[in-house]
Amino acid sequence: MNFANLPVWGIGAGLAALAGGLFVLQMLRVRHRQLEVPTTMFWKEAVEESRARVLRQRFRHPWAYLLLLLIAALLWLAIGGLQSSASDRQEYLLVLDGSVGMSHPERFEIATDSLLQDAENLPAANREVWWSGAETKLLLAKGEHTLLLRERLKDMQPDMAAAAVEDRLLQMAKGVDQQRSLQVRLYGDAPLRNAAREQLPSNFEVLRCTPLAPAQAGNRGFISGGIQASESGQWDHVDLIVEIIGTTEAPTLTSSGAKPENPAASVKTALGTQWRFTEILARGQVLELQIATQDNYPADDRISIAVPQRRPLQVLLSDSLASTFAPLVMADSALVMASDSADLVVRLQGENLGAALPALEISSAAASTHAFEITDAGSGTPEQLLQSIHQQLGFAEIDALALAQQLQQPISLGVELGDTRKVQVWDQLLDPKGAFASSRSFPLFMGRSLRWLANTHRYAPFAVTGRPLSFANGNWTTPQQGTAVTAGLALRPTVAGVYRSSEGNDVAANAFDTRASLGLAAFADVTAGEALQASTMPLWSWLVLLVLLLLGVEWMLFHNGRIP
Amino acid sequence: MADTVTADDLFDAEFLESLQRLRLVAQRVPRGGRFAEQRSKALGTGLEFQDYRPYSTGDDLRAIDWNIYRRLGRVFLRLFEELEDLPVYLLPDVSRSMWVEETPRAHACLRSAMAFAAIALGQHDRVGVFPFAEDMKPLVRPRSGWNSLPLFAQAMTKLEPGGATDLSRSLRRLEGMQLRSGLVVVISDFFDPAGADAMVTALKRLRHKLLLVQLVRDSDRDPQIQGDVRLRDCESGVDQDITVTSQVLDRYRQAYDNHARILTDFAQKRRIGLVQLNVEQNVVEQIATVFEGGRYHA
Repeated sequence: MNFANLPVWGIGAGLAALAGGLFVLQMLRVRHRQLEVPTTMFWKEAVEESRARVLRQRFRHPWAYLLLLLIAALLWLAIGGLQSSASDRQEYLLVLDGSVGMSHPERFEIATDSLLQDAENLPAANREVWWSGAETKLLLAKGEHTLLLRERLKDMQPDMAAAAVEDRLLQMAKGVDQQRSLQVRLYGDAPLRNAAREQLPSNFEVLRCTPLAPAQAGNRGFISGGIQASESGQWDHVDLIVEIIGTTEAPTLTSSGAKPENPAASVKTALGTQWRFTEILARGQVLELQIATQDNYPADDRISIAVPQRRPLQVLLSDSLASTFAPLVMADSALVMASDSADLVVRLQGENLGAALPALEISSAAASTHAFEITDAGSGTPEQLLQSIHQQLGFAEIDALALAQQLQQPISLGVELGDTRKVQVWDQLLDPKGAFASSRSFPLFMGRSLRWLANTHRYAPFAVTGRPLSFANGNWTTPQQGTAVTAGLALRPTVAGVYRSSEGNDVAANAFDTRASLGLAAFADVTAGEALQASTMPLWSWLVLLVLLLLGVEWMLFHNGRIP
Repeated sequence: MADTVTADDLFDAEFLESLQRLRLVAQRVPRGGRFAEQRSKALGTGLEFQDYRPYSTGDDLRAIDWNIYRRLGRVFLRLFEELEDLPVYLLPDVSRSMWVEETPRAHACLRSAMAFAAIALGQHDRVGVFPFAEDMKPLVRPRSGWNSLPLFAQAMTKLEPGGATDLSRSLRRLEGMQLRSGLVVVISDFFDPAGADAMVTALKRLRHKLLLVQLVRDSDRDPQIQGDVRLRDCESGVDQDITVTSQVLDRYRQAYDNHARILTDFAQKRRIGLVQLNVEQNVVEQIATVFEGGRYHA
């Protein structure tokens, strides 16, 4: 048992004070017994002043005192906000889904109405209300009155963000006391798959307190979209792919700037139609696509996709290496021979050509310990660098054993940290008749190495709210003009819009929600908890009712002459 | 509280038997009444010789005392005492106070009234009943004849509790009726809120002979009340909160005795009858004690 409004010691002290005060009043109380007499004229002459009320007398009418004490005590307990022990242990986490799926007509209103009703009926000291939209934020803290919640919800609308209740609950579960029972009450249509529920602690009870959205047919909208490298292989072109449901009409590009030159091609998919725009010049523009016809769910009628900026890399080539590397540069569409300014240099070890540029250096076994020596200017440990470049530069494709047999010495890879990126390779490995130069991995290694040296911008093939990008890239400016600090981790867009990296590259995130776009009631793997009935009347209300009943009993006893 | 009485409550054969030997005797009744058994101030042709007076023209020759004429040579008439009736006006108190408590005083009051009515009717006197409370209203106009007794009883059973006691107003109403002078029997608890002095003043103005019958009970003077009580006056409905202590009880008794003393002093000075009947005992037996030798001389 506890109290919402007063501490237990305060309640105890108040009860003691009430008992004492009522005892004094009871002692001072005049208890008249009513009699009907033929005349009072003799009494009037005889009557004296009413006797002074004094405490030192026999205590009379103990039952009347106990009844009065009971009434006062119950009122005092009601003022203290008496709660049962069960409600003491039980905590409630009310989560309002503010994702894009709640943009369906009336869904958000239904959810907020249910939320407000439950918040009023649950004990204030044991419930919290959280918003799960583009971000997670506390709407109502424990003990706060629901009037605040009503005010805070007044102007709120669903965010353009995918549903992320599952992730939020898993995060919350980490910080919850395992000994206390927690009931999570979900208001909204965000999916909560069994797999996610099974990861929640056993003291978590998850209930969906709003009915799932009814199936809504006829919606048209984007359910996915992104870019990929151009099928033509052109370095500075990309292909744009989107998937649309509800219509077979091609989406229209509404943004200005570089537009696709080729007409879109469509492919039928399981859910809708996939449209591919090919050969889009990659100049860092943001493309906007829109479905022509409008419907009741406009959240998926328009998307934005950022195209990366791709220009050919300017390679400064040492004259002594021109015969070896010139054909390689000319064969790679991403590379051109530098005319004025260069992005990188290919030189012999010890040459001073392009000293400040990232360099591919040809070394000798006598001057360099490792056959492949990689220097990176970034942060991190050599071990992290080794792991990173092993994949990026295609070392897995190199047959190191064959090279070692040919050269009669070990082939090793070394990494170190420095000011400028550098890749060093033994000159023996570049022998045109050698195993490495004649292998298929050679052009791959060279192409990747030169791209890595140029540190070309990596782009996100697609960006969806709630999911991290495929790479980490410093700080970002969010669509709300805020700054998202990723602390070395990949950016996780919270709301749809264009994010700009500190290097000036854009990523356009979209709030794709296939379930909401399809208008499905629920995925098959979503287990909908039963909606709870409105909470029972709080204990203090019962106390007040009991007081009223006791007052009625006292009134009856008084009129029957049973108590004074 | 019994709000009515039945005829059986008022009289029966035994009741009438016990009243047979009782007589109301007036000193002199005013002339103008009917022939009955009371000596009147009128002189006429009765049986009892009263006086002589000289003859004057027109007198009845049969009343001349011829023996005196023979001895004295003068003509005198012999005068005899007329016997007439005594009007008895019964004033039972039917105010609210008469109908409360375990044994209502109204029962004793009406039984007493019936007793006086039976006595008076038995000696051919005229009896009228005028109950009163806050005012007085005739219930039975004066009439005589033994056979009227059931009518009196029937009328009294229809009496219902009245309001507060106002004896002064009731007596003024009686005076206004210009009734023949007779005996007024006031049967009451005399708990008039106006007080004993006001009652005495009103009684003094009455030109009838008076007999006061005060209905009392033991608890009137010694109420069995202690502690904090709220006393409700049954007539006014006004509550009086008091704490009854021995001192309060003493002062109560003083007030009660003072009230009784005023009535007693008045009765003694006027030489009128004041009878106290304990309502918790047989009223007829108590009434009989008033009639010394079977007679009460009004």
